[in-house]
Amino acid sequence: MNKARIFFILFILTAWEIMGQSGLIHAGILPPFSDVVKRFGEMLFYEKLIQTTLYSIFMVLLAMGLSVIITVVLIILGRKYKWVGTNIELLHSIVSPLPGIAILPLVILWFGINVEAMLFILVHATLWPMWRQLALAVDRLHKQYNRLETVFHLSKFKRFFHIYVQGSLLDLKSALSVSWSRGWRALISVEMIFGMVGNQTGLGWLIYERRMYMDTEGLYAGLIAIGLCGVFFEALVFTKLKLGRVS
Amino acid sequence: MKPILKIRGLTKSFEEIPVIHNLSLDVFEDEILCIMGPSGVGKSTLLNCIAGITPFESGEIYCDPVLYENVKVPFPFVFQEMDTLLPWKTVRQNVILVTDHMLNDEIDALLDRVDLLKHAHKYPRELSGGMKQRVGIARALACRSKVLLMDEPFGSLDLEMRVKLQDLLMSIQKKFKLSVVFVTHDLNEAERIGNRIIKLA
Repeated sequence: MNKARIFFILFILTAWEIMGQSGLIHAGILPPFSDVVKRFGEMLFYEKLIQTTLYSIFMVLLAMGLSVIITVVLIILGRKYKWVGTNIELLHSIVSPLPGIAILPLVILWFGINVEAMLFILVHATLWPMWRQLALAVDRLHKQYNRLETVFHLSKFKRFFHIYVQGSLLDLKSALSVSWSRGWRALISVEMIFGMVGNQTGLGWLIYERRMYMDTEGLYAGLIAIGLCGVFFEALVFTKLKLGRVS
Repeated sequence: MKPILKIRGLTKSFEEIPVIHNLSLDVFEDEILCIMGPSGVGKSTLLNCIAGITPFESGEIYCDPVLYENVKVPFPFVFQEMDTLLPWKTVRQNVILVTDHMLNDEIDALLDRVDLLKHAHKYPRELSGGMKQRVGIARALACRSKVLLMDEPFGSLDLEMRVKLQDLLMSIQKKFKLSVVFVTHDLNEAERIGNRIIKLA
């Protein structure tokens, strides 16, 4: 992180602390930053913040794993049968712009309020950007290496693994990053509505619950946890992920 | 000399515009046949038809059965474009990709033959244009076919590199007794390396 960014963050946090301590704004609306940090520590060490965060992360990663599998199947079918490819394209243009929360009433109707419903929404949020990116990558690779495949009679395995899988690793990295950010946002929204699903709750429910109990420090601490996870995965994990050696 | 490849009455059109019309020619064993002609006359299309990349409307291509003996790829191709090397694979891996049966020592010998053994671990982005084309040649040779199709492979190289690669090609052709069908725009190049020159018009 460069100095300008660090300075900017420090400036915001200092301003927040001064505003909170000054009493100009009620602590129920904007508690001092130091109180939020203290509450964050309490939630981290004495309450279930880590467990809640891990559950939320697990749900998004699970949905992303399913999305990768579905994407591979859709791409293979789309390439094998042209009409399937055309219809997936159509489905993508219809369904992809719908935010996860918009299909929530329908999903509750179909599945009820349970883990399956939550996963469905998360897969919807993560699948389409991943499919779009990887389908474009496969198209590009096909155009570039079609002659190579034909001339050298490459086997299906060699085409699939050595050209399409290895050639789209960089696209997969960027697809994972976009999918993560869409999935993470969808998860927080869905958790705020679903509350407890099974015997687990996530960060979305945590901040909703903190607001109900007027625990504003806890609410801010939950928001910080959500922000930190988002930044950690999007900017650090998926950006630094070593996939492929070609830039 | 014995023909290894006979083309009879080959006709190929693109959107009903004939590009190759009723072409017949023989490619003999152990020769470099240079095909010349202006742009758009169908030189590359002819190679694509032979290699099976492009279907053609009529005509026949007869191959000597020897071409199919213990060979998976009877018509290996050296492309004009250098971006047909997979950038995420090393020189050695690019060569290995097209062959199922070569031992490591054989790959080393082949890379040594095209003077790339020292660079076997490098990625295409680390190679010069001439080196990339040598990888293309090594990749085609790895198929162990008696025929080599080359579509203006040295067209984008400078003169010095061209001459070096022409010498390399001629020595390889002699050593492996290959039949090379070589498309080029350059008459000097054709005269220098070709045993026969055919001009398409």
